[in-house]
Amino acid sequence: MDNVPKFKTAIWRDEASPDNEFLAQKSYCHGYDVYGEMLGQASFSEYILTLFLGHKPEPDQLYLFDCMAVAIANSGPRDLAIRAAMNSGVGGAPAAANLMSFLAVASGNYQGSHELQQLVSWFVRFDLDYDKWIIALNAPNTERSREDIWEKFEHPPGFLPHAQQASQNTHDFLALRGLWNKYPAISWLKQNLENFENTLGMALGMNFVVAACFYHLGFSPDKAELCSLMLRLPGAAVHSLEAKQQGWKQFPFFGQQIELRNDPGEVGPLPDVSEILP
Amino acid sequence: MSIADLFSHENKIVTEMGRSYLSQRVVYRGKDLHHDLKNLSWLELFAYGITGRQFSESEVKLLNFIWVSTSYPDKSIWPNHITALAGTARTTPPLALAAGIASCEAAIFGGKPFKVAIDFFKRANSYVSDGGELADFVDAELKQHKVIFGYGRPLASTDERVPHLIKFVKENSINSLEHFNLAIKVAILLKAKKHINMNVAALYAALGADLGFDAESFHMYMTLCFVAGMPPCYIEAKQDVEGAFLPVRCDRVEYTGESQRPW
Repeated sequence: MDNVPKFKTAIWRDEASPDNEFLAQKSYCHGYDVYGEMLGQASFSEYILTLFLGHKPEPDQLYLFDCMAVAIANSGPRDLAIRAAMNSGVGGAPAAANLMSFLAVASGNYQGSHELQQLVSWFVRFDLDYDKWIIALNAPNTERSREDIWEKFEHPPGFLPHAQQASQNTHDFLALRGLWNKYPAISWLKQNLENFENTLGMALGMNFVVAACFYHLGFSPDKAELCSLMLRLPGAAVHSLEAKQQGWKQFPFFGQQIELRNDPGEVGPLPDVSEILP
Repeated sequence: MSIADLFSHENKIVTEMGRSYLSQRVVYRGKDLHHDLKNLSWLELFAYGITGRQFSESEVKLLNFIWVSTSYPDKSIWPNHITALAGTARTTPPLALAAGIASCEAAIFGGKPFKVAIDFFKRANSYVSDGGELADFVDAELKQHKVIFGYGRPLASTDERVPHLIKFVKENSINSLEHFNLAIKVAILLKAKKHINMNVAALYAALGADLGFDAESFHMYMTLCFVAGMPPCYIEAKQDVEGAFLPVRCDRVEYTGESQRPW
């Protein structure tokens, strides 16, 4: 068996059951006994952070993570990605299809995880250097030296191209005591919000605040991208279920709202099959 | 961009791409689907949907050959492996294929190489057309990016698809082969310079450019290029014993992390 390909992991260890080598009798996550010790003691957030960070989180990390997770767990039924999940759910597709639909739409440059990844990578490089941030935000595609599967940014990442002032929700997030007074990136965003918005002519979006949180949690850009998608799934789940339960008759259908600019008109009649199908 | 853009788009879908008049007819990019386009092959319709133009018979034959030549029902290849796992886990065919397709947008094969490579050949062609030396362009690209997508291959040093595709191109009258010829020249340069061989992504991308695709439309066209290899992987895994596709014993996973510690 020694020349057989083998998985390698620094995250997880299963101890085999004495009577079945394919069944774990003990499982360890970063060295912690998951079912023997963590279960019953660790909260869900603690466990998620342990998975991503590689160790048990500190209480302040846990608080920051929980705040952020609550902030993004559901963006409501107007959100593009949630609507994707709902459009899957309303037809009665499998649950996984609803979440896959959400993930696809939530992954992009516009309020998505790829935008977030870019922001976290800039936090890693610029920290809180306002001037460097402004240069990058004003020309977000400068470092793009060749084609990529991701298209160019059409707006400064982290900002809302269709709004000029941040929402009250974003202000509330930034003003949360326990965050801005503790985490420099949050207070920096709070202090510079007006400068940013005046300079760029658009509103600071939630993704920028979330990126600041991931930065303080020590998440790499890739970890932040993935974790943010995961943390946004609950909203997709419940709204897709609701759409399924409500049924298609109650779900908005925009067939009559289509304005076709190049309609050739009726080219020919439907075939006459009345002899076969009266 | 402003809030005005949102107001102007509210409650309407303005389109030139098409719509269905249910119970009556369907317009597909300006043509009646059931009358004007009914005799197209599915592949022709797909390409028309992406580019808005209809390809000649020989072009469609080439587009079809590209997909056929890279449809490998080999469960060890990563996207196919996913569909086999989906089969053994008894999930549904669409979920299996959707996952397999999505995973083809990879960095070491598939999506990224195709898109980057077609852009490379278009830029290289402009450079050479403007009187530049191809070797200089290749050197500059290597200096900036270290690799040129389409050259070198994970898992194997040569690519069996390359001779088949070259033979196909030579046996069929393809109108323009400007980028294709460029890809061959780059292959000769890189073989001499870095001892690496061309893989088929370079030829697919170059031929895509010769067929008039831009990077974005080629990216979309190639989305399904591996999919025909996936159903056999799913089906066989599903026919086999449930949960038995490459089972892994506990001790077959090498652990390199922290030792046991108290929570």
